[in-house]
Amino acid sequence: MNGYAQSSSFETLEGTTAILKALKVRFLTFFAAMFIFYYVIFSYFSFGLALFGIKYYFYYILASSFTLSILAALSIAIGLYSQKTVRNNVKGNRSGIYAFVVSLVPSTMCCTPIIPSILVAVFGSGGIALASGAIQGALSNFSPVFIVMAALLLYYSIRVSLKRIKKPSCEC
Amino acid sequence: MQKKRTVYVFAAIVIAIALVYFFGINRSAGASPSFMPAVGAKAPDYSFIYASNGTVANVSSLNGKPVLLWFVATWCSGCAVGNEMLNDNISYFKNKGINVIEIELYRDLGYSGAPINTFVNDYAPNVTSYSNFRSAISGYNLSLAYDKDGYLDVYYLIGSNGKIVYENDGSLAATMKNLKSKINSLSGSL
Repeated sequence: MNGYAQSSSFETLEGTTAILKALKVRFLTFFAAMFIFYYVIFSYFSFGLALFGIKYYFYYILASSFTLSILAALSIAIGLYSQKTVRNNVKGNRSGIYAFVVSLVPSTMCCTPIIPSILVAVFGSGGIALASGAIQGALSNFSPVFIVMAALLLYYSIRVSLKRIKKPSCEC
Repeated sequence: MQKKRTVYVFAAIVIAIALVYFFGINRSAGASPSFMPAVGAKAPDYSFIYASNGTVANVSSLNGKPVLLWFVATWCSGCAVGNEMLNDNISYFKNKGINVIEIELYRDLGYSGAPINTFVNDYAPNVTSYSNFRSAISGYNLSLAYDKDGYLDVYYLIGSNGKIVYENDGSLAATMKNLKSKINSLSGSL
């Protein structure tokens, strides 16, 4: 395991693969847990149905769940490894948490009473409350953007963790 | 310290998801929410436009037969699922002598989705062949009277006398069972 820190290919696919081989049980556990979580949440809210239609939205859910869960599992497994082995008083990397929140925004905020309730609490009934679709509809139609954003945040989180393994002293 | 913060963030996320669940899904039981006209009250009489031919009609013009007024937005995935459910149950409503009017909320609640006809054809292709189904577009006053808080997927069962018999602010897809058991229990007095 210590060899990873010295490896010159720590940020490459080989370096990542080497870490994952060592952590494969943990990685697979995280992957399975995250995949089930995303798949259940996305299916429950029929994520992407109005955007992709009956024929294709299942594939959208599957692809989103798979992409996010594999990146999240990588991020968690490598993040834990970097914290355990080399981290010393380094600022926490929160991009994984941000990614988690971003990935759930479109499915949980669109077509639920949360946004209408907030608008009613702030502006009262009627008027602006009857335009809550401006937010909800946009979340629904731009949900792929949120998924991509979450994936990029997770990718960033993985990169930071791998950098820490290479340079334990870095403030990254 | 960092660990503690992470735990707080995750706790907040879990609480948020729980709130979504309880407010979003479990709202179907219990008394009428304050934003809906009360059960037993006369159905507010405002106008809508039939999507098929552009005819303007009032809710009172539906009196004489029980009617299900279902308010949707055409960009809403939950409403699309409701359409699939309606597609499978439209014959039930026909057999019970209930008309079904699926109404697009005023200006689609501020975000332009598909036209209501397209939305219905995409997710409930069978319903258009049933004479008891029609789709429509809401005027501002109708949306304000029946859904002033702008919730998605709310519906009303109005008796042949023009009074509200049953209503639900949970999604039609999630509460179809409740609706049918209510209709079955009212059979004959609708």
